[in-house]
Amino acid sequence: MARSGFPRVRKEHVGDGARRRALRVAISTALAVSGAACGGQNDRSSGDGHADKSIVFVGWGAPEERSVIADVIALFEQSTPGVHVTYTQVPGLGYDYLNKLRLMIVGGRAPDVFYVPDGAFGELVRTGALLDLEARIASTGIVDLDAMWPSAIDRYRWNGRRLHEGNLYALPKDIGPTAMFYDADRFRERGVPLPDPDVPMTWDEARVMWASLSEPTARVRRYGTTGYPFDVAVWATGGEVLSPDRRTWAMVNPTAEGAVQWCADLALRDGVAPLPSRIEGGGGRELFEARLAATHIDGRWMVPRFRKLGFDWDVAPIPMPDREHESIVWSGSVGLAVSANTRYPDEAFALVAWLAGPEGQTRLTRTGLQLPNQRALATTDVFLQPGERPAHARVFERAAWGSRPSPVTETANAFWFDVLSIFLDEVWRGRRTAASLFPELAPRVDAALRENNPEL
Amino acid sequence: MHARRFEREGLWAYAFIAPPVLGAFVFAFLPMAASLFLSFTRYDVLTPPDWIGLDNYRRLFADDFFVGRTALNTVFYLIGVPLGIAAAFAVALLLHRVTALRGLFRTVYFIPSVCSIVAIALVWKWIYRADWGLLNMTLASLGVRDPPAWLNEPILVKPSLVFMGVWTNLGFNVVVYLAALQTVPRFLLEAAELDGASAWRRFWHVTFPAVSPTTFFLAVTSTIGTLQNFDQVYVMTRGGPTYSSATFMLYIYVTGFQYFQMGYASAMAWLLALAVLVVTRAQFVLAARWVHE
Repeated sequence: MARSGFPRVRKEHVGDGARRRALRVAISTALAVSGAACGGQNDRSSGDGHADKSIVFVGWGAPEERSVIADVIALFEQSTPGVHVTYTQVPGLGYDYLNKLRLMIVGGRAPDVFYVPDGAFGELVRTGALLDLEARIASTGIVDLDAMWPSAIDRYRWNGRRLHEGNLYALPKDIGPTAMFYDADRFRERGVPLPDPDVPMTWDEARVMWASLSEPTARVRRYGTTGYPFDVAVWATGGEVLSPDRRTWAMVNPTAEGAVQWCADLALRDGVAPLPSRIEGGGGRELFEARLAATHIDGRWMVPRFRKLGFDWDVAPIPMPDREHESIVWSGSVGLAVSANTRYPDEAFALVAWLAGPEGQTRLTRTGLQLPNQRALATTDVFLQPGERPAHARVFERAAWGSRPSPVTETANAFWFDVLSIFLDEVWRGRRTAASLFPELAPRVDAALRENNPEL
Repeated sequence: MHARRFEREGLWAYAFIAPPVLGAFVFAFLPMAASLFLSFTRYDVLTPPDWIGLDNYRRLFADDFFVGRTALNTVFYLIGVPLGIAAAFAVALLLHRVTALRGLFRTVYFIPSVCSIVAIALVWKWIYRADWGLLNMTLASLGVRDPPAWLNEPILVKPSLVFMGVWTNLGFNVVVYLAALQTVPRFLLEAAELDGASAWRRFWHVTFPAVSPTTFFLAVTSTIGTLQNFDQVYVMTRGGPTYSSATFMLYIYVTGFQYFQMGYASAMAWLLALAVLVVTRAQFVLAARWVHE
């Protein structure tokens, strides 16, 4: 992983006035060129000679993000006269947002620009709801794809048959690699050394550490960890969740079965993680917040929430099977997409480019929620935020290099993953072993894969 | 002269009934016809539907594991219908006799019926929480070690939701029963009492038959409501864990609005409509044996 080959940009450089002016000129030129080409039949001329175009932008998020987004939009409007952006923030989590977005699209009232979580990108792009951005990226030159994490970009590609390949239909707003959050106070109380922020510990080392932090028989049970994501365990041991052609489920083999069983045994055999019946609502996160679990694997987006916690915490790399395996983690991302039916594709694209570009990313990163899609920015204080938790924010930046999108992003319809998760519960609850269940489960998962993804 | 006035009155009559008829046509019959057509297509909403004949119905009966699982779950929830009716009848009988604070009691029992299901779900989620839920805290204080995770154990989640459903619907059912109890002829009860009938025999042979049309009404509406149960499961568990609390209606929603398989979801909806029709028809046929007009 040749990380050092990429230029590092200092904070003051990113916000540099000359660069901002250059970007404005680039966007204005791009809009002028593309507007002339399109004829501008939807434009209404305002008094100052500029077209008056209104773009609807819909996303979700916490209330405190609203002002940051408003700030970024205001800057965009200043740099692109004649374009007005109306931002609507759907409250709550992504699930509610997606339901609303789907209904808006189905009802023919899709917003011009909207967030598209990477897990839902496939289903939306397959239905033709998203505008192909590839030509505009090439012709306008306002998006520097080389400055972004490749893994963040590729999850928004579609070639009409397969995801992660072909043209870009969204640009990443962020990338959210996962790391191991740990309750440093709990470590100190139990006299357990803090994890190394640079070198991932091995699974064996981690199990010993988690056991030292667990009290499985106490009246109030405490755990060393809230669990380990099974897909990461499979990847880390060299396995895959789906076959390369994505037509079959690829976990019927001793490697993947062993990896999944290892995850299950953390609760079933070792007692260092809770049984699934003890994980409710917010998942393991609530156990970590309540100090009932000393470590918890989650994404960067949890940072603002955890900053409100009343104990000392930090992050460390996710443990790997052994020192020989490369570090690999799962990362989430939210894309910025343009509706295929927008009246103002060029202006909508310009907004997306602005939000995904250095200007937008500098401001959005200040929320603490995200690792910026701009790699250079991830090593500056804009992201690292010294003085704020986590003390070792660089763990996320390193994790991004070895991160992969969730397996659900590999197919347009992810119902097969629902099927898999439902039956995997038998393993988590100790009713079946992975080795006995998987051969029996394979036809069901494969049927769900093929039935719902005929293009494959 | 008369004929012309009749014609004019007839026109007025048509004008008055036009809005509801048009409303039913536009918002009920047309969508039904559309969904029947869509059930024979592959339709993702954004691209035109593809005619695939009976494939969706074939998939429903042959391939889809979840149809069977969610249908069985839905049938399980039907346990709540007799339980809910029995509980409501018992409470109504008590309230019928209460004279002091009658209004207060009736209001208290009716409150859940006017609450939003989301508010109710929040309360019940807290009651059922495994670690610091009201129920488990109470059980723990009584010495029960390791009380169960009510909403997170596949075997417990459905009974837990049935109990919650009985509580949620109790108020409405009680009010309907209270109205019915006031129509039970007093002379019949008095005659039975004079003939020496015990309280139980008066209830079983006079009160219960007298309110049987109400019981039938509640049985039919509760059964239809249970077969179409969606909101309670959606807000409480989203069908989990492992689809063990998912109803058929929830599966239709997930198929149609999460996975954009509107053709298949339409076929499922028609299967559900058929099931509701058959069950309701069966209830009407059986009603001849126990419902007194």
